[in-house]
Amino acid sequence: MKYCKINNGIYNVHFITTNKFKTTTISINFREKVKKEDITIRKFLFQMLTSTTLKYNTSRLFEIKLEDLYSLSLSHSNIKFGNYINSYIDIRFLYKKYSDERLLYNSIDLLFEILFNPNVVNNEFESKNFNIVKDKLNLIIKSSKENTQKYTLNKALELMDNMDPISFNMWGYKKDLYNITEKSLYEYYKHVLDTNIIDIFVVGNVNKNEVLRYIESKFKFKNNRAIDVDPFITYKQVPKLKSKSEVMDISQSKLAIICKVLNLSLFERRYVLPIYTSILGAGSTSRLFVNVREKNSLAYSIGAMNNSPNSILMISSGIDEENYDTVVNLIKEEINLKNVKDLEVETARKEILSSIETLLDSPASIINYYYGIEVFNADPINKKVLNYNKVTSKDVEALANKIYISSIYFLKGSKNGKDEN
Amino acid sequence: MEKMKISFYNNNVYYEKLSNGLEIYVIPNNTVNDFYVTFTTKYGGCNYKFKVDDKYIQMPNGIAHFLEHKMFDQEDGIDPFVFYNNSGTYCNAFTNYFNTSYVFAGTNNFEDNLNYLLDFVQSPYFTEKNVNKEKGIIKQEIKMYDDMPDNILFEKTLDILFNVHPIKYSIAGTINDIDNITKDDLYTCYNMFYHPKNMFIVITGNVNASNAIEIIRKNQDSKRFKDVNINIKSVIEPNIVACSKKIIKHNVAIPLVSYSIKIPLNDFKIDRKKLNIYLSNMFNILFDETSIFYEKIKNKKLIDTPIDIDNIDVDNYKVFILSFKTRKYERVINEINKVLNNIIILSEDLERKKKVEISNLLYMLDDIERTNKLFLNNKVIYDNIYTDIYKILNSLNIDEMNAIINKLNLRNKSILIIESNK
Repeated sequence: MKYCKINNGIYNVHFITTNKFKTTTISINFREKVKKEDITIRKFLFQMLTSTTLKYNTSRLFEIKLEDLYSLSLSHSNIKFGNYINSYIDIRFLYKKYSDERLLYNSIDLLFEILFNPNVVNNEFESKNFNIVKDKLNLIIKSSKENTQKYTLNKALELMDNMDPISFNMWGYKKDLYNITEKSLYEYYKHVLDTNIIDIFVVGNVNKNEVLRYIESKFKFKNNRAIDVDPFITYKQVPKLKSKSEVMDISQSKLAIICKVLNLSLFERRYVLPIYTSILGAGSTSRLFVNVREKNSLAYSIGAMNNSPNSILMISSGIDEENYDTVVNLIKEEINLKNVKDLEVETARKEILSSIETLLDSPASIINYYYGIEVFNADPINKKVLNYNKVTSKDVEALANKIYISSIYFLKGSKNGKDEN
Repeated sequence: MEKMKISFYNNNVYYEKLSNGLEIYVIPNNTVNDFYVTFTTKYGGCNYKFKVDDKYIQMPNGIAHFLEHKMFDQEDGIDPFVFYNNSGTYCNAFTNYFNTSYVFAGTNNFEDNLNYLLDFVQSPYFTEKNVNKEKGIIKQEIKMYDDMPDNILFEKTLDILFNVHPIKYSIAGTINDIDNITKDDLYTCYNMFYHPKNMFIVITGNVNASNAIEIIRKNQDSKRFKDVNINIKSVIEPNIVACSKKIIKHNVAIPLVSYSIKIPLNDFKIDRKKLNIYLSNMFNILFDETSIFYEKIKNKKLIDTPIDIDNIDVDNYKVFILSFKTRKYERVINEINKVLNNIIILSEDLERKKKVEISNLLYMLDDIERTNKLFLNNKVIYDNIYTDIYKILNSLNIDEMNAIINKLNLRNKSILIIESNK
């Protein structure tokens, strides 16, 4: 596998040349500083771009085109990390050996159509498809309460601080959706193309020079771009704990606890926090799994996740309402991770190192890895391994002392749903 | 060891059947660093009666899933999760309607991990205490699934389609079922269905096939298994649905609806896998995002998101479930009826879908987990791993499709509507 980055002054093209796969993947990434008021319109834009184009102007024609390109796989997403939001469009398609000679170029042509020939008439997105996408997003927002675990986690994050980037709801906001017009969406489209930092990744067995020439001949962007904010968020003050509950007509109550990790050093953020999270609640031998589930049979699902660029730790579980105090107390006791054993650190380390060994086994994780280096100046694999091996139980205990609960949200399962508190 | 080639796709399959009946399939992929291993019993949540001491017995529903949970308790006190975690290896298990599978996946300690998989799944240790402890955990799991509208839709749809077949019941059982399960029940089921002759192993990823097979052979040669005669009571499911329409209330924003069809397949002589491919493609052509139907109902503002098309094989029936969210479901149902009353498939659509089928298999074979599950499911559903799949896909044609359509009985339909409980 060979990696090569080409910067043409406006955007980067990263080539990862490999014959590991039967496919080629091309991913185009747009990033900028995250703003709450942009979440909904950004989601709208990328949904719109990947539904129709000017040439394939109904979703039926568009989907048929994807199938004609040997079932080309098209995906897109908007992801927040730290102070940034990243939106990508990925295409994955077969090697010519399994398809035809022109598939590589035909697939790049489709990506070009998606980005540069959107379904726009007179500087406005075409109304009919605009409204189809709007109705779809409206339905997604309306249905957000159906995923009770994710809903509870989002409510806990909003309760912590609804202006903190991590709390911005990626389902979008109804009020913002209502205000988006065909014209404002087109203006936002131009904003993204003209100002966002762009990285393109090509993963597969391709002729680098040929593909680079083809990409550069088609993908022409204006202006230089930069983001004037650090990607990482660091908290310095001990948060004030906020708690809230809500009643919903469901069988199982859901609990979400959000913690801030104060004054994280770069080493802690990259290497100690993942090990801490693994010991606390990232797997079936974690302290939360063993103490809440296995020893006390209080839950089926209980786990902890971290969002390291945001300095946030999240714990979520599904429990019976009457066990709230018991479970919260057990979690509170474990968050401080007293008496961390070397064996616990070793087990967590092995699990993480094992996943590092597979970092280069799928196109998506390869792109994540190199994008991490691009955005966060993340360490290369050999340095990651070296640094994970340096983490001690004392480091984990020291980190545990920097963790403070900032919000607890409890969704109570009941027959009569009504808001409380 | 038998070596087979999956033509066109350039993958090899190595096969062995051991003297105790255990079957092994190895599909190496040495371009990746990791491996994915499943150990499967052809026994799942579909709770058929079976014969013990000359009498058919009925176990409580949910017992296969309960058994899956309890296999993780070992007499020596070592938790399989801890064992696998020690080498940074992923470990899990899952129960479907017709199988229960135990999984490990990782990059190192292959031999020890493989031996341990065989050892822990072949060492049941059930006590009253550990069985009772598990009840609280499984009840929480049942409640979790009870709050997921998509899961309710799927399970309740099968419930109203079938009259007597055990597919009617949830894989996990109900809270009452769980209360009734005893350690003796677990041993009875374990001893019947976890015999090596009812099990198979699929290994994908960076492994040496002959080495993997020898590890398993050596492990199994050191164990003795009491022979069993697996006798499952066949179910005569009437060729009608149990209930043609049902409305239930739940936590949904707008109605979630399933339009399901139970298709009898007794009269078809064609290979079951090939028939399934034809039927899936027929439903895709008629109802997916490339269909005229979907474009029409979307333009009429009857629906905002694509129709989800699901299917399941239940003995001699094939079930298709079309699910969607809309307040205007009566009109959508009418439109679906119209399409199914006059099925027209164009040759060009079938040819395009054929290309999609051939391509999708390539995507799948690029991923060791998906490859493993593909072989696992083929083995469970068809008892065949279809190394000739390319030939089958390539032979799909409009004449055969039309002949199937002409013979189809689409009369067994049910509608399930989940409405908001507010």
